[in-house]
Amino acid sequence: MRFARAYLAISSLILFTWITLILIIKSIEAIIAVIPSSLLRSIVGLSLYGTWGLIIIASIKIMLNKLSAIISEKKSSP
Amino acid sequence: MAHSGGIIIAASMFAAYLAALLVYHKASITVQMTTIIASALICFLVGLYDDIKILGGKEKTLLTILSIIPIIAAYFFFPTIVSLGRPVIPLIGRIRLTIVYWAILPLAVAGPANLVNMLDIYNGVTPGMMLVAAAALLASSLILSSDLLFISSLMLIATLLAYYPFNAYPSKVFNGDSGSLFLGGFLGALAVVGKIEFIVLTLLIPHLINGIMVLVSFGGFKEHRQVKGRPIEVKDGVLMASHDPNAPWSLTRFILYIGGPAHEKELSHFYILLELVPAILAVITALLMRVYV
Repeated sequence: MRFARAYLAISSLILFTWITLILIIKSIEAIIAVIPSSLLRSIVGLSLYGTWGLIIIASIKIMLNKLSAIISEKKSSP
Repeated sequence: MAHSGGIIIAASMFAAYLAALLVYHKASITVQMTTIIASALICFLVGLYDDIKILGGKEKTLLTILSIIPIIAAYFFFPTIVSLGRPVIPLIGRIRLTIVYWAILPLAVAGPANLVNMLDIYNGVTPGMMLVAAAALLASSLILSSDLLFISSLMLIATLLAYYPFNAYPSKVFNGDSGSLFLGGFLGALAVVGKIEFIVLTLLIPHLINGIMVLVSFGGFKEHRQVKGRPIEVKDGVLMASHDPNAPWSLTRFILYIGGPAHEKELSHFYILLELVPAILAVITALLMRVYV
């Protein structure tokens, strides 16, 4: 298959995303399980999910910028 | 060329819903199916309006948020049938997501609807990927012994099997935003009402990756007409990843960047084959969830 490399790369990305999602939720659950107050648990949970969301978006932004930089280098090289 | 295949999809799904109500005489199924269809139809109407009169990216997303109304109404009127919060996650069980769940609930249907819409770019991609996803949902329904999931997946499979040949490359009918928003909205509503949030999230991982790539590199919700650089270049019918470093990223650009130029038919088949990966993961998710349900 001509697209085997792309298929393998994106399949790995899908598997990585699936495992990461479970691990993130598991880690947040472990943290908020020890908080006795329901309100405090919600605040901590909301901020942890928000922080993870921002980390993921920032990581993807960095990855895409690096890819664009590689393309730019390739374009400028003779 | 017809541009609103969504009308055929929505009409077929509505007919299947009526048939399901005639076969299943359970009050819980009636309430749950009606809620799901009502939510999906709101997404369909937003899409249909966009097919006729073009909506901006932000307006379209905001209007699809309205599709959560039938779910919230069902929760208040039938709390024993439609419950919200505390989703089941594989290897963890029922998690303590109550207030956070309500905070993200407005995006529970609008999110999947818009993610599916964002990847509805080539002939056959959306119905093909949704057909694979529906097959995974059918397998999950048997694992979880869920009547709602069984009926919904059969409705999707029947509709999409009949529709796919018309939308496959070379397409005779385009889905339009009405089609993709309806299908995405249906999946989102099914996830919430059927309490299979993580299974649907797994099935939509390729859409999620594409959505995040587009939103991060486009800098927010923008109509494609508002964006200057194009992620894909077309030359003699062949699609190529843009070599403009300032062009925005999408999953298609990423695929073409790694795999090289491709014809639209190849790319469409690639996406349908790619959906097999989250479909297998979704079935594994259902197997892992079985002990907690």
